[in-house]
Amino acid sequence: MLAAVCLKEWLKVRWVWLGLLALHLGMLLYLFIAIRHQFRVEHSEMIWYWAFELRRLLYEPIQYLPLVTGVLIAAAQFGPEMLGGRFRLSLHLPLRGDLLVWSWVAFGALMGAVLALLDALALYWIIGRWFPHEAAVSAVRTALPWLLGGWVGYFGATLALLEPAAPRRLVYLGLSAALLALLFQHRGYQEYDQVLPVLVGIALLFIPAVILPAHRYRHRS
Amino acid sequence: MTARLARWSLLLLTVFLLAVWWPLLKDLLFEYRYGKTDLFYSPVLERFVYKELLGEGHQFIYRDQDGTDYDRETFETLIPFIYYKNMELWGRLPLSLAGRSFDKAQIQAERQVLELDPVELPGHAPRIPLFPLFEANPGRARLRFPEDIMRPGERLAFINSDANRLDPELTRRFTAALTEAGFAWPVQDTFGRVSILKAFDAGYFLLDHAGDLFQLRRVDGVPEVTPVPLPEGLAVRHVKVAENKRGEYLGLVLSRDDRLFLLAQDEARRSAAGLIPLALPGYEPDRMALKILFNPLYRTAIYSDQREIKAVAMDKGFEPIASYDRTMAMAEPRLVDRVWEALVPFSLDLRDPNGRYLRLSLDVHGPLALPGIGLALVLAWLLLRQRGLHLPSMLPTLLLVGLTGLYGLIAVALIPPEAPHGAAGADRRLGRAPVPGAANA
Amino acid sequence: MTAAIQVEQLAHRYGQRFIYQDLSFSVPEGKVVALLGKNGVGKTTLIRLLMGFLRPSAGQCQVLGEPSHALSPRTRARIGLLFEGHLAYDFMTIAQIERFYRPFYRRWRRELYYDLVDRLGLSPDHKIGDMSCGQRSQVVLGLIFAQDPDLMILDDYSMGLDAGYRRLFLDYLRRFLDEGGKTVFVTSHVVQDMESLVDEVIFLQRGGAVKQLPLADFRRQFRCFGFQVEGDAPPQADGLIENVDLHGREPVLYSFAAPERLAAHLATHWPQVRLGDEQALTLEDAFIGLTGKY
Repeated sequence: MLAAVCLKEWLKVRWVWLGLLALHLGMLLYLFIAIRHQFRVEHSEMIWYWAFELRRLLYEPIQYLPLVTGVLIAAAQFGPEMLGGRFRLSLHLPLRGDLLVWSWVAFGALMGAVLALLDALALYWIIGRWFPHEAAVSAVRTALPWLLGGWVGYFGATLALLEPAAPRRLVYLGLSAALLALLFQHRGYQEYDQVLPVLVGIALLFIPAVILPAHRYRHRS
Repeated sequence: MTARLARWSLLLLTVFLLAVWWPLLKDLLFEYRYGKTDLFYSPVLERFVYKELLGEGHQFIYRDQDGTDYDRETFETLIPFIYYKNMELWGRLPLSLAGRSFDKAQIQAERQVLELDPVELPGHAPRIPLFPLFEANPGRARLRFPEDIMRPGERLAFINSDANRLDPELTRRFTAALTEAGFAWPVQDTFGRVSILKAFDAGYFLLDHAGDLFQLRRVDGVPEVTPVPLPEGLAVRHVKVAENKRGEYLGLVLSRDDRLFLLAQDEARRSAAGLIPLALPGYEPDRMALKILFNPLYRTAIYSDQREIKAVAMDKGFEPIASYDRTMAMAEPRLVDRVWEALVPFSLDLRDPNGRYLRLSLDVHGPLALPGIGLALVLAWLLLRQRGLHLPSMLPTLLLVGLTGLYGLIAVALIPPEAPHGAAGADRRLGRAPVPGAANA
Repeated sequence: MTAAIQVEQLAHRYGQRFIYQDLSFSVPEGKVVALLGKNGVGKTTLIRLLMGFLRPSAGQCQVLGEPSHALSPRTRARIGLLFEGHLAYDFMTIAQIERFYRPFYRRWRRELYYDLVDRLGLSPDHKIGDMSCGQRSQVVLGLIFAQDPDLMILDDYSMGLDAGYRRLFLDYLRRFLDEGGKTVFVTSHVVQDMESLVDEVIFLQRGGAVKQLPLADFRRQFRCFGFQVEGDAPPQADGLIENVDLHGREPVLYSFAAPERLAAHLATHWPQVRLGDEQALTLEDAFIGLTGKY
């Protein structure tokens, strides 16, 4: 059954995911070229000074990439379910509704995680190409809240898409936006090192939460 | 069951987000424009004087520690070493004080300010542990960035920034110099000031594994290591390097037990030459910003958190001669703060005024918040009753509102309980007897 | 005989507006039952309630012995649903959708699916989203057959189908039902199709009144007569007379009563009416006769 669930989810997201993969590769390539360009036009020690002392984040162009990814994966997964009420087809499957929804979001989150891992590895490699490895590790740690932004974006969009009532959809979008805004408050590197576990804990609340709109969809009165 | 868990997860999420964002919104709507009090030791009155903003616009007061008010100009003449340029403009230089006369050049030569902010302390801000070691004798007016960066660790490695590769020769040379000077590896901590906009370069202060402090400079490309003599039992927490033109003091040394020392300087060699203890009662470096003002007659240490400001005036030998502390006007609660504290039971603060790390500190309002909680409970009860709930089934939600006040109320209003399961609940509203078996959903 | 669907004192409302307040009927196991009713009487709502996508405001709605809005997965596996418009995963191909559904059903009968779908002459890689409505209906029906359900709830299977595909749908359905043991609850706008398919009919009328009877009884007992009136006071529905239609060339009245009883009733209550000949009725005529044109 899990294979069947994965098959369906893959069929829905594959083109969007492949498009996103291309987007990620494109953005990472851009980042590579942009940093390479910086090192060609400026003295390397000056760029290191900007990065370490002035806390300038050379990799900021990719900060919203995970968020966009999360939202698009959710749209690809749950848009087709909501069109014409196809969600009813899924809810009639002989499987507990909550397990079904969790297996969907597990698949979606996994697809996002693959891209997040790609980002993290590529970021480490790109920064490590021109900076000592401390800076590469720091870049990945700095990017962690952005990656969490992908998670929040994914679940926020999922909640809004599965929800049958428009006003409640706005509530979910508002909550997600409020949590997202907390993830982009940085003024330099690694400022989330201490607070990130709390924010991850809060973001994990989305896992149980995602059952509610599905429940409301089935038990409308 | 999972639907209930789902709703409660969303309620918690909502409460959390409200507790973070509402205080920010409040601060945005009711901005706080009062800054900290400016406190000085007046060499004229031999008393402390201060300047404070009391209200809207420019309602400054200029007052001494006995409560005597002054106009602005008089106030400035009470601290002439601070406003010496105004003194010059007003034709009051040279100054005659304590039987001595001070002209502009003398004042300038003896003025120095040393500062230590909590945000500078280790652990208060993230830091990539790589440090450019400047050439201390650049042979030109200005310092310039070296093309290699220092990585303190099991050895003192240097990485060339053009090649992003280790420089084995430099690494060997500097590591050997430190080892020769008795440095116990690995490096525990590194302190210094990374800037080319400073009068000279004092290099870095390296704390070794045994807790000893060494000053390392690069002079003509060669390592110069100076052990810093530390008082018995002193565990160094931080060294603030000032590299001021006025070369008497190189900076400040903070111990792990919050004692502060001036780092004296051997002016000829720009190297550390011992510590001078400062007696600063009530100084808490993790949350107080500190300033030490030097003038030709006195040294004044002024340190403050968000509520209180304290000051110790010392003679030139750093013997305390007077001290003073007061609660700043900015600490006086405003009406809006009182209303706020009564309205919500707590708030979560994301920003740390004493550090760069984001964190979530809980500010609990305590019994002050009871009115807000009471109001929230009544409203929540009305809301739940309107949705057809009876008291026993309301209790968990009321408990949430009781603990989280208006945050909980808003969360419950946004994500109210789902209509009771099965037809049984609906039957109740329709005034019918529930059909057996219809409610066990 | 046990009931596959049991509806008792069902009430449903949208806001303050009740669709029905006291609806009761049952669908016996092994029977094919059609739900007929004019637009707006709450057929769709009833189907949604039975399919478990609406929670009843009150009363009981049991499907295979469980409340319809809280069916266990095991019971859902025994129910085949055909959604209005032959809803299917458009993004899947013929082969993919079979691969998707197969693992969910223990009694999956792959051959039934391909038996139906192969006749379309399409490649297994053909996407459902690229099919005509008729082709899609075959795929959906094939999936329901392969599921081998005990109960099928078919919501307006005729929607969007031309006469050929409609007939095909019915042919395959009948052939499948010939295996026996299946219960079908069906709605359709094409009343005429029900003639050869259903055992019983349930007429749902505005306000939630229901009339349930075997189709054969309905066809035998429900009659239509022409009539003439002396004066200008035509008869009206009164319990024995089900309906009076004055829109046609000749006025007609409908009744379940035998001609003799009807004549006696008219003589007593509507003496100005002179009963004419009984007229032959198609099922659609009879349906309209019972429920009215408006």
